Amino acid sequence: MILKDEREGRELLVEYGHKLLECGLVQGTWGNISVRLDDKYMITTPSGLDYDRVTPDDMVVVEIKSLKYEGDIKPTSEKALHAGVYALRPEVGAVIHTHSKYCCIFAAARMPLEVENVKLASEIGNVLKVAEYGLPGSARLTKNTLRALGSSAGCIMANHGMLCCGPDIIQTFDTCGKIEQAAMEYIDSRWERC
Amino acid sequence: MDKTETIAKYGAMMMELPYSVGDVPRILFKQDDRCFVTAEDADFTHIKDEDIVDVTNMESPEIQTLMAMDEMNAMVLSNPPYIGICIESRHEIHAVLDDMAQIVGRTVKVVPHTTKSIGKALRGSAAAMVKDGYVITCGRNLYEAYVAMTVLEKSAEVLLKSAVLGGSVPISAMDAKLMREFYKRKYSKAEKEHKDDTEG
Repeated sequence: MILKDEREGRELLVEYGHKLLECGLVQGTWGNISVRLDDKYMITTPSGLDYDRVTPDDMVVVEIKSLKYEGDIKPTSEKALHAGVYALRPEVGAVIHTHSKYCCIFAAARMPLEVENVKLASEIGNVLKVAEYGLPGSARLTKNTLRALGSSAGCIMANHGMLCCGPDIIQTFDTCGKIEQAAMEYIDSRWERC
Repeated sequence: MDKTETIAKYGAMMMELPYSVGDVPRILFKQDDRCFVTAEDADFTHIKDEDIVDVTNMESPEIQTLMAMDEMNAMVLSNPPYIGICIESRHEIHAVLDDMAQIVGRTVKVVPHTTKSIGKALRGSAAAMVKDGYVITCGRNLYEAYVAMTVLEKSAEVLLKSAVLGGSVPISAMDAKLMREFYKRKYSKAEKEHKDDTEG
């Protein structure tokens, strides 16, 4: 999906921020989303503001290469992570980073997610690697996450959450839900036996 | 937004969570050196003026602790399911996720129901589990106390369920301390200012 203009990108971020909240994939200000505007710029959610009250005007246009932005509203503290994905993966049009519960169980255990459901595996891959730990917003977190992501649809971030990407926000949101579902199926099938 | 509207908003949000917050949840709110609490029989889906009681001069560990803490203005008392398991088994919840380290702190302990124990626990963390009871989460405003409860419940579930993967890897003490300080100073500033402006 190619964005019509910057306004459409801003509105999509608000819409999908609400959808992530409704699905329980993010809570409050936690997690962040971005869309690619063009080769040079991305639009990200702002830092530290609740998804239930942000407006299109709160979204921030950030230069992918320099991470520079204009205006008083700060972009997400994970802007470097988003920019890194766009720089490395020209086909990517949207990035979602969440602290969703079941992915967080893998993150806490620092274990890769093996996708056991064959249908889901055909869509999101057989294994989602786990990135080594880095403090939130740090260069180390970005480096480790990009390494674990490689060319796949997503990855687990140690003690932190998950990140996924796709050609547009619609498909990326869909992938995000499927990754959480795969994690839930893995954990709950074993937890019930405990 | 006045006091009742703010308490009613978060009471309703607690009822909308996909899990129970216990049989008798309570909200404590400090305003102008007075302490208010929701009545034991308050309907959290529709909290009204008459459900909120001024308890400034009453003695209880929670009231005394809240009144003594300069930075804290709100407390939520609840008993969500996974935190409840930790309380019953006296299982300390340690941060295995960055969001708990930032919003709540590195560890949440099970402590006796005394002013001294609760006060001490809440000096190092935004939450304390009361032995044979419930969990207290607190914040500079009700938003923070509510979010601390939801983040701690997720952390408790993650901590317990990570057993099926062989257990969790805790965040180091230094990293947890850094993140907590950073969160208090900077990250939550925009949201805190907004909530303070709109909700008091």
